[in-house]
Amino acid sequence: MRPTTGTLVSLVVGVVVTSVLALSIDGTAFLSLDSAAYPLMFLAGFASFVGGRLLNFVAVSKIGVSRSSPIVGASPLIATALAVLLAGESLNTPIIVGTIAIISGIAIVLRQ
Amino acid sequence: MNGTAESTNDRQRLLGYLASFGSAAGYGFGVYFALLVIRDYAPPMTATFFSLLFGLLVMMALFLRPAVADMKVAPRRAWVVVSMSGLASAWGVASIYLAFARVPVVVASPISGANPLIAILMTYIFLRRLERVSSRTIVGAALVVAGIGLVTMGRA
Repeated sequence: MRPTTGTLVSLVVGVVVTSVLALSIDGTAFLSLDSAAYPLMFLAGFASFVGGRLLNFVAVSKIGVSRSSPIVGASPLIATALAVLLAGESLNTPIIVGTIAIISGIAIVLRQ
Repeated sequence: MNGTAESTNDRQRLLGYLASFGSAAGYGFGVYFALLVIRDYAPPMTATFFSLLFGLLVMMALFLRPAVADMKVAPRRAWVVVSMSGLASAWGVASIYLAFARVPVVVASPISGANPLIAILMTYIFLRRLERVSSRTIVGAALVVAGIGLVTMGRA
């Protein structure tokens, strides 16, 4: 099965399971969402699945897992930077050092 | 001839690196948009469902035709594995969205970024004959565990 087909099938499974869970856990909120939420949820899905996953497939096919994974694995740095710069979250030294340690550790493991 | 082949290789490599950075940016922005939704508009499980649904719709618009042809010849085992992968990734997305409702992204995102280590551990447990744990794996894993400890302490 191609990676894109696998992603499609796995997304179908995910949508079915989470629809049941969302309706049973947050039924009221699910049915009465603010219309402003939809563009943001579209962007979240588009960025993660089309931007993130699809480009990851392209990267692996062009330069291999050992070169692409450490770069893709740095995505928490981007998420952290956006959360600080745009969402007003704050950082401290243990979080900065810990984030760098996690990303470096993953890079060391994946580069072999 | 060699010059042309080298230039094609260079282009492919550049494309690969650009796609890697694009993918990292995609995941990073996905987290940011999810944070905005969960903070202001929707409970985590509802946000998970709609993000997966919109991701599915866009993927269908791009790949439905080749995927249908591919599905017709896929063996049953592939369906089972991909379905289990769907369950696992839905669990992953739901868990990180639930985390965003309770802790800052600067804490949740680096910890969830340690997921390749779990993949390596699972591969080692279930495919022991194919994978060997080297000293680099141990050093990398130790760094990840220490990093998770630091990030968690930073939140405390």
